[in-house]
Amino acid sequence: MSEELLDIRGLKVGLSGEADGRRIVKDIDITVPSGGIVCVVGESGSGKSVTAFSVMGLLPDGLRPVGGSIKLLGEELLGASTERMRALRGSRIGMIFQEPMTALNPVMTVREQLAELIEWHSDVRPSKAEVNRRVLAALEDMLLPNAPQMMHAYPHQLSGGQRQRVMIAMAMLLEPVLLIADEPTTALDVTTQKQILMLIKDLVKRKNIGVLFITHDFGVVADIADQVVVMQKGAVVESGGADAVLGHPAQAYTRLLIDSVPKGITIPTSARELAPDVLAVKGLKMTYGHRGLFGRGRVTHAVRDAAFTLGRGEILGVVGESGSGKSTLARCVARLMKPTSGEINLLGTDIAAVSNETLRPHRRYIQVVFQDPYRSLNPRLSVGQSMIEGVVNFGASPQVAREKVSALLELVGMDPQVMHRFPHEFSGGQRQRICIARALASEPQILIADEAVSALDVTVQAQVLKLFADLRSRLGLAMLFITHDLRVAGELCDRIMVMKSGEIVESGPTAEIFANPQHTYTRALFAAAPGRERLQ
Amino acid sequence: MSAITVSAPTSSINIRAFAGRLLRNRTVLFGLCILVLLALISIFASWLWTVDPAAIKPRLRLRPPSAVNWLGTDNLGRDIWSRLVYGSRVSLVVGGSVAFIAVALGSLLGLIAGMVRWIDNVLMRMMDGMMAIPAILLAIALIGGLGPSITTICIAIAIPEIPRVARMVRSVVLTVREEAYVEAAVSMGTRLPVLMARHIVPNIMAPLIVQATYIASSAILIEASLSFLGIGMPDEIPSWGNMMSDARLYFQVRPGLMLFPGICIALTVLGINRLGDGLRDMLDPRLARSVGGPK
Amino acid sequence: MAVAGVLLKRSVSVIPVLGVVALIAFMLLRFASGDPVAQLAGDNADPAAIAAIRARLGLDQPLAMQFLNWLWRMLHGDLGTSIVSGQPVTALIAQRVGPTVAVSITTIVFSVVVGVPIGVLAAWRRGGWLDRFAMWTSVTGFAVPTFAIGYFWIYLLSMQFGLFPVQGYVPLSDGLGLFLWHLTLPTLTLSLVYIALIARVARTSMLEVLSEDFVRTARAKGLPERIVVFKHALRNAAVPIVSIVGIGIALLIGGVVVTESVFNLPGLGRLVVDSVLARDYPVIQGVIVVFGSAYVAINLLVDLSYSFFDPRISQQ
Repeated sequence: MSEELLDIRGLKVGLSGEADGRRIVKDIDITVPSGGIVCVVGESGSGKSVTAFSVMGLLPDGLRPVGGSIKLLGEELLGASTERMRALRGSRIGMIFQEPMTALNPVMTVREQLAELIEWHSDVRPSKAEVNRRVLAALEDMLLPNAPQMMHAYPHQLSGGQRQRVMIAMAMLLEPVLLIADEPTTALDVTTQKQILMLIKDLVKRKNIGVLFITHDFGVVADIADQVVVMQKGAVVESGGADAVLGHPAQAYTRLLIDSVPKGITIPTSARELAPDVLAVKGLKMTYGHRGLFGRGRVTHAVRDAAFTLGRGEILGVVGESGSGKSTLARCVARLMKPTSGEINLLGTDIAAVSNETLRPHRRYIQVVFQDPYRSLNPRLSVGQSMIEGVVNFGASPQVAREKVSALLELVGMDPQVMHRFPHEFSGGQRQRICIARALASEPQILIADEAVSALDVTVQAQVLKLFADLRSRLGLAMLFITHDLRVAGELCDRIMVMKSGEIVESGPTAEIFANPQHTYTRALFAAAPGRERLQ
Repeated sequence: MSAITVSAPTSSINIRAFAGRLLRNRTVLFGLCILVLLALISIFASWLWTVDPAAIKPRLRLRPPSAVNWLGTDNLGRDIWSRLVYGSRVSLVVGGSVAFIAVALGSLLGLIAGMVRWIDNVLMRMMDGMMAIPAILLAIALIGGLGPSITTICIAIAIPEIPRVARMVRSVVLTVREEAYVEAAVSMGTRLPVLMARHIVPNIMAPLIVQATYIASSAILIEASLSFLGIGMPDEIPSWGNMMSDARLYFQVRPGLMLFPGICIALTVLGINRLGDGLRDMLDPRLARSVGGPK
Repeated sequence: MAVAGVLLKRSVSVIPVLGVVALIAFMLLRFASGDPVAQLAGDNADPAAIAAIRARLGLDQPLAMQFLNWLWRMLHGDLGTSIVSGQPVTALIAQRVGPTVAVSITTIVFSVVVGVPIGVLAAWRRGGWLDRFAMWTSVTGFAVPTFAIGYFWIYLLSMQFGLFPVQGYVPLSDGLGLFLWHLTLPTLTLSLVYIALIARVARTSMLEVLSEDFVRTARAKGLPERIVVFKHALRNAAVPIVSIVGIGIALLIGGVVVTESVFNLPGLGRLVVDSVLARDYPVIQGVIVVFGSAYVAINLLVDLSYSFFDPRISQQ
């Protein structure tokens, strides 16, 4: 057993104003050894990030530790002076964050941001050549290509994965003993996530550092954790070795979290080939033009020649990473934007190029559920007012609409009484249910779910996925399910299309794609899915 | 998802609760008190121990405060107290009507620009051009053309404010249009007029009210400056600006002649600005968040 | 895109704005209630003489034609002649531009030097004494008319302490000391609003930036707080601050017009006020065009400076 690097004992974090009020973090114990990765996993509001920031001494205004101890190599951090903490940060403890784009200073070059770390943590000002040498070495150590040029790049000139590598290079520059990683791969595409996780694992092995890794994703935990700490509502639910916790969770909550991780195919795909098409898309193109001053413009092909059909009661998954054009495709099909060219045949009518006035009666057949449930409901209208809007638009009286909507609320598992309340009174999952009920109110034939479960906690996500499957079987609803997560698509969809750079690179029945992916990109997506080996 | 995120901003819904919050906000309360007091003074001006503010008494020029003339008299022997009291009417009329004209026309233009793309380009270039000319200069030139009267002065002060309102409204419209709930409404077949009235206009009201207060206060200041320069209110109207303009020549002997109307203007503008600041802090969730700290 | 391309694109984009400025200046003459020609011809002029003057001034042509002619002459540096003095408007403006430019520059420099640090520190210690002091100063600064501030300084610093001259202007050619000595009170007068404006925007902008992730990163790197605030945060907050300095020019010019009257500075503001009182429309038009162009030019420079503060902007 290696030595104890970080020892958190009985840590309590509370609100500054209240002497013995609410605790954000309640009496938790975590130990991080050298050469080990400890994953703190939990849903939003579990206090996992607060724990990480307590170690750094960087709690946001309004929060403060009210008890317990945090020891780094035997040195107490909770009572340490501001100056001592400043000296430790960056040199003994490195930290990386969720969103590398915003975590790097946008107006400073990579070199400047790394160099200042060396300059402010050394007693004698090192020479410029020496600084450059160390910065270059650190970047090369993170396997960044073209490190000499990259030194002089600004963050916005790098890709997401490169930015996170730069962040790690910065955190590791002064050879800290402890690395704190706060959801470092959540904002990244799945293939990039895989590379970053490998890099962190490799660092632990090579440099014998300890890592405190905060995540919400049990897939990621399964990939890299040596030890797991499960948190819920500020308290530790369960902790132990990764194999033990993942394989034989002692607590029901842990089991729920693990079971909620989408693992790919769970429903057997029944043959639906005979169902008539409700939607047929042909040669759909969406191009954004950036016309330059002298007509020499750049053109972005967001969607190139997309063609597919959707049968009644069928769920078609559209899977792709950011920038693949999957959301643009969805918005074109819903006619929230007008495609450059192509055909969108909705129940026998081509709606691709018709005017808004002609389109209006057709809109009821195709409805959208958006990603962010916090922005999909008008905060000034009651839930009921928002929900009946569509029904009334399509000719029903408000009274009839209300009755219909209350039935739909029951269908999605909400109390019809919520109609009189306002959106801010509901959680994300509840709002998403309301949005789904609203989308169903106009009796659509097709529901487009644009990353509709990605903003939700994993347990809520599992419930909403179940709701979708349920609606399909009860209402015969066809769905276009847009997601970045192949595992989620596998849980729900009958067929899957994989998109990359605006093109559909592969499509077919879910079972076939999972069993035998043809395109190299699809294979790469599968290889990168976190937790594949350990959770199956 | 990081645990240290701030809960999404929620607009206040319940009007009564909002009114309660309004009155508990010290900044808003301060502003409201001053405005109400001013309104009362201007309504009951003739009962407030005043005499005809324009009555000239050459023998009583530049008198110090006395039992008859509480605050003394000016260079033409007019009673300062009466002129101050009646001056509040001018300021309220100017502030109110300028804010109304600017907000009404500006928000109309802003809404059109925000919704119709091809008009947007033309209209916004026009607005840019107007904003390039300093407000007071444009007002001076307009009054030079229209001739000074209380109506023309209000119009001349209001016109330069229109582009500012239009721009603000336009930017809110463009932001709100991108909201998912507006897209949801579009996909549910909501027509443009309903879309505007139900989903877009309510978002404009709050910033518009705030901006109206700022326009009102700046109008009072500009009116005073114009009068001071001698191109504002006609002489016979007892405006605070006119009083200060008259006091210029006697400033070295009787600084008080400038002090009293100056304090009146400052207090009025301060009151309106505080009302605006308070409302802004309450209505703008972005700023409220920066005050509230993590939850 | 290359820097030259951006430069060209931005420069071209201000042409329509300048066109609108010219159009507004031109249209003002049409609003005029009194007929300037009748005024020019004098009280006893007969209709034939008036028609002759009208023709000479080109006022008998269609409106669009008049505008284009006027624009054409303006592009050749001819802003017309003053009705009152008969001098070319350009010459009048040239005589008066000195004091206006001088007091504008001193005000901008003083306001930026004072306003930015106040705003930054107020944001850094939000709710602290400096924040409250700055807030109340700015609230007051926005509430008091500019000319009243001018008289306050005159009363305090000239009449009570005799530190500065009450009025007047001395050109730079008479010596820097004397020049600045006479500009001190006008600068203090004009600066209050401008400082309030800059400090407010700097504070808001800094508050926003200080809550961003990269500030947290900078702290996580163990950098001293002053580096976090002045190096990491301020550079990111710079664009709105620079932008308000540009937009504030409009406010500044408005203040200059009034301040020149208070301190008896023979600048463009006095020129325009005198011209309005004398209904000297060509001069009013000329001054509006000059001020409008100056505003557009300064804001073009401000626009171009963004890419210096934020490398992301030049990429578009």
